[in-house]
Amino acid sequence: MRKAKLLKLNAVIPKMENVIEVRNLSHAYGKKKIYDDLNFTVKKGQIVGLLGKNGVGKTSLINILMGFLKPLGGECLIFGEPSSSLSENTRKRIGLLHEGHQTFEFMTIEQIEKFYSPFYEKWRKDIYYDLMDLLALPKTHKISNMSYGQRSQVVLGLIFAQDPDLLVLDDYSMGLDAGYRRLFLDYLHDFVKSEQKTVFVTSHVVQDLEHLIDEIILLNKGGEILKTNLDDLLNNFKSYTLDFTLPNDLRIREIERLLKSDVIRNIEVSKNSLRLYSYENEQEVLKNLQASHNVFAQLNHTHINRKEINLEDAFIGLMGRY
Amino acid sequence: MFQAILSKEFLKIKYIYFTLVILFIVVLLYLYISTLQNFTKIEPHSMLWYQAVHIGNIYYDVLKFLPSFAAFVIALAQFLPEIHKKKFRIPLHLPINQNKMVFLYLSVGLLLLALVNSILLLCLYFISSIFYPSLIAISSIQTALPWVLASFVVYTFCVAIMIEPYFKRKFFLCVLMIMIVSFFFLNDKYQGYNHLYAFLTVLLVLSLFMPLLSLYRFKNGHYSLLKEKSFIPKLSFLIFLVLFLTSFSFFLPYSTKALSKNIDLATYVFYSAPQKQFMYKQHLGYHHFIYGNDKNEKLSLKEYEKALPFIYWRNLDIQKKLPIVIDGISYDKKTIKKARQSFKFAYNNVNENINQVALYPLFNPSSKKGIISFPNLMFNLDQEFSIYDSEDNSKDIELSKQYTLALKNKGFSFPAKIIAGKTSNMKPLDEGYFVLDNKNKLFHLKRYDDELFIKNVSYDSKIKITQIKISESRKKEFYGLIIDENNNAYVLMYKNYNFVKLPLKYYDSNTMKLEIYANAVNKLIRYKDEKYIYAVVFDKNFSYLDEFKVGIPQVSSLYQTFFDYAYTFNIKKNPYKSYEEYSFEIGSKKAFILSFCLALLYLLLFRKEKKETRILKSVLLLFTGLYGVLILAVV
Repeated sequence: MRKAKLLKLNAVIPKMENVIEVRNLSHAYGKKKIYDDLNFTVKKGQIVGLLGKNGVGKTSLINILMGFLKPLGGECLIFGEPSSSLSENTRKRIGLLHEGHQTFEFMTIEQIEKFYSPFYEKWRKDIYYDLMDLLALPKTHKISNMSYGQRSQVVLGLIFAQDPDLLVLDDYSMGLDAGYRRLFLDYLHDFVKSEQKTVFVTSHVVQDLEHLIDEIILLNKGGEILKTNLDDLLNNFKSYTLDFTLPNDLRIREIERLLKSDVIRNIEVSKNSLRLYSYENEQEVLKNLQASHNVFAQLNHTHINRKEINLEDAFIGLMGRY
Repeated sequence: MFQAILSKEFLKIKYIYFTLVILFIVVLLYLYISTLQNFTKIEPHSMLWYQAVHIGNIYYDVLKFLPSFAAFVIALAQFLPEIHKKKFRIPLHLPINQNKMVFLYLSVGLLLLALVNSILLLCLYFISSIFYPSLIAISSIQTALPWVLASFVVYTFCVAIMIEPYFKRKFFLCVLMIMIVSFFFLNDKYQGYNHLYAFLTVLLVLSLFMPLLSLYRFKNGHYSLLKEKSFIPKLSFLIFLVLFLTSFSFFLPYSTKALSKNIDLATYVFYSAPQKQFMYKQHLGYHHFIYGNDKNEKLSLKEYEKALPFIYWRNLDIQKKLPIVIDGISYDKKTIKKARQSFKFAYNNVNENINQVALYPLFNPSSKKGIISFPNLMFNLDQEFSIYDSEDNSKDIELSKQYTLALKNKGFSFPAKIIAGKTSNMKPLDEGYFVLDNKNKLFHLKRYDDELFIKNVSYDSKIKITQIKISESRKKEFYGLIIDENNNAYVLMYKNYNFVKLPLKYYDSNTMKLEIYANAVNKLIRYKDEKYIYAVVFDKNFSYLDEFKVGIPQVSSLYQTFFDYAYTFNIKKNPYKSYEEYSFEIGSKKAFILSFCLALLYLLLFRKEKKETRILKSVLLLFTGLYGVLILAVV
């Protein structure tokens, strides 16, 4: 059993392999601290998902990585270059999806392709038009007249046509229905598996990433992060349900306060049951429960059941519901 | 890549741009139709030429803010979609230098703006040429040029304001834009900026850097420029400081001065012919006057008025006290009225048109008619005696040739340096023009009964004439006033064109107004500087009698005190010129004492700041005083 731990900069990893390096990053908006001494790396060929609840600073982190925001401290390197002054050559290697699938909406399918193509030597017109064929729209169709999903496909086509080495996708799922999300992921999957592409992705639809990413960075309020391998997380992080009716005099907040510990990482309370999250085995959890309060003293292993866990469960287990 | 950006930008704004072009065409059509209507209504057409050149009626002022409006619209159309949801990040991520990218965006906007502005200037020239001689048509382009230049500044600032991410700074950039753009609109005279194009161009070039500063802030958010190491943001910030200091050091002192001028404390000096002494009247504010004489005696209003019968003759007339007797000579109402004459000579209305549109009405009074009609013909004495006929807006080649020859035969050298005359026909008689030729010969030139009269006026060759002002009076005593390069003033007498030198010790024609008042007994000349009003009295023939000076009451206005303390330097407009001319003025010691205190205070109070930053800001405060405080407040 391996406990995920805060990842500090690993100086042993050769620099060349790191596509993204974040060192001692700190940032704040006024008095509100976003990150404090944040460190992580993304290596070549990795597909890393950045997850966190709304407002923890996922988009700010992408803005810092892409040079649209200067942090208060620390440094970020992309392909070895400081993110605040990325060279044209490095920007050429990065396919960036802006939050909300932003693009030049006043252009048509054809016009936007013609606009982008001179900027990229490796431009893959065929990839772009393959995706556009799926839309079954004329080339003269204006992007502003498209649905959100159709627009996302144009943006995806433009990014893939660049043939970038690093894909940075800021909340690709925003505004997309299940069908377009699936389409997006399928294309992304095919794109990255063929060559050693690196992907840094954020999404608020956590379960979508389960089949895509191999590393996960969980970003919490105040800048605390947890970086782990996805398989490790799903194998080692566990969920237990407990059939138990709470006494009326115990408030939910109080139970949470009582039970949360290094062993029980999170707890969900409903009327007749409890759901617990932990890296530990059943016995350890039970022992911890019994020691926490008199009302749990009589519990035994028949009351507790281990449940299958998916990425969304793990996310809630580690980050909490609210 | 440039082509890609060019076509993208054009795609974005094409509909708005075409609407703008249509708007320009509509306004230009309106200008054409309204000018046509004026020329149909008013006869002779030269009256409209006169109104344009000598009254300063800018017949195309409907175009004044059109280029700036176009700039505002183009900037909005181009950048509002980019700023919406911060989409500007998309082009910034393209593999192209980001400063270059912004310049490419700007180039497209500036190019499109230049195109509509060119349409505007060309059409203005074309419309002007239909109705006006080419001199006025060229002048119209020169007069409209600052409006066009202003539009480029409006464009760059609007872009900068839109890219700037924070509202407070957007607001401040707005204020700065209004001030910088105001430089281009302060003067509403013909070719008022002929001496200032270099300054305006520098402002325009510097303002191109403002979007780059905003780009830096867009990219880096709140990050301080003082810590920045890259060259372009540093340079842009430095340019921002230059623009800030230029505009604030002009407009803050300018408004302080304007406010202090509201206190109008006038002093008037006259000469009492019966008492043979000077009398004065001082306004101390709030309609409180004091009266006195040159013996420092305070007088009542009654005593004052009594001493000046040629000023207050109407009272005497009502009181049936006319005629009056002075030195044994009787002066009745008719004599007093007939003898009265006043003549004002101001620094900024003399011969200035020679630098602008040198086109003058060629009066041709008929000896058989009592009134002087406004002539159809106007002339210019540049390479030749060019005569323009306003009826068909053409040059009268025959007459031009004939008059050029006549002038040359009299020894006239083209081009003329000074052409002085009264260009209005609302005058009792026409004395034509006094013209100083290229070799400093003075000619008297007039036309009557279709004949050209040319007289070479001989005068002392040591006198280097710089200014001439003509006064036409039925009394026919003097033609006007002449000033030489040493500030000596001469009255040009009718008799033999004699130059009578006036003993005006303190007179400076560049900064002072001069007034001549004539009555039945004396001539009085008044002029003043900031502290005194000077009066010199002569007999009827300009023979010196006496002189007097009286202090102008000085009030220590709050504004003046503020001015003295607040501004360590200022850019000052030359108030004695009708065109824009600026100079740099270092402030008083008081201002530097205050700025030193401010710098010291900053050093002591802001100890938490880094030492270098603190020193840098203190030095800024030391040299810039109040402006520095404003900079620190907004930066």
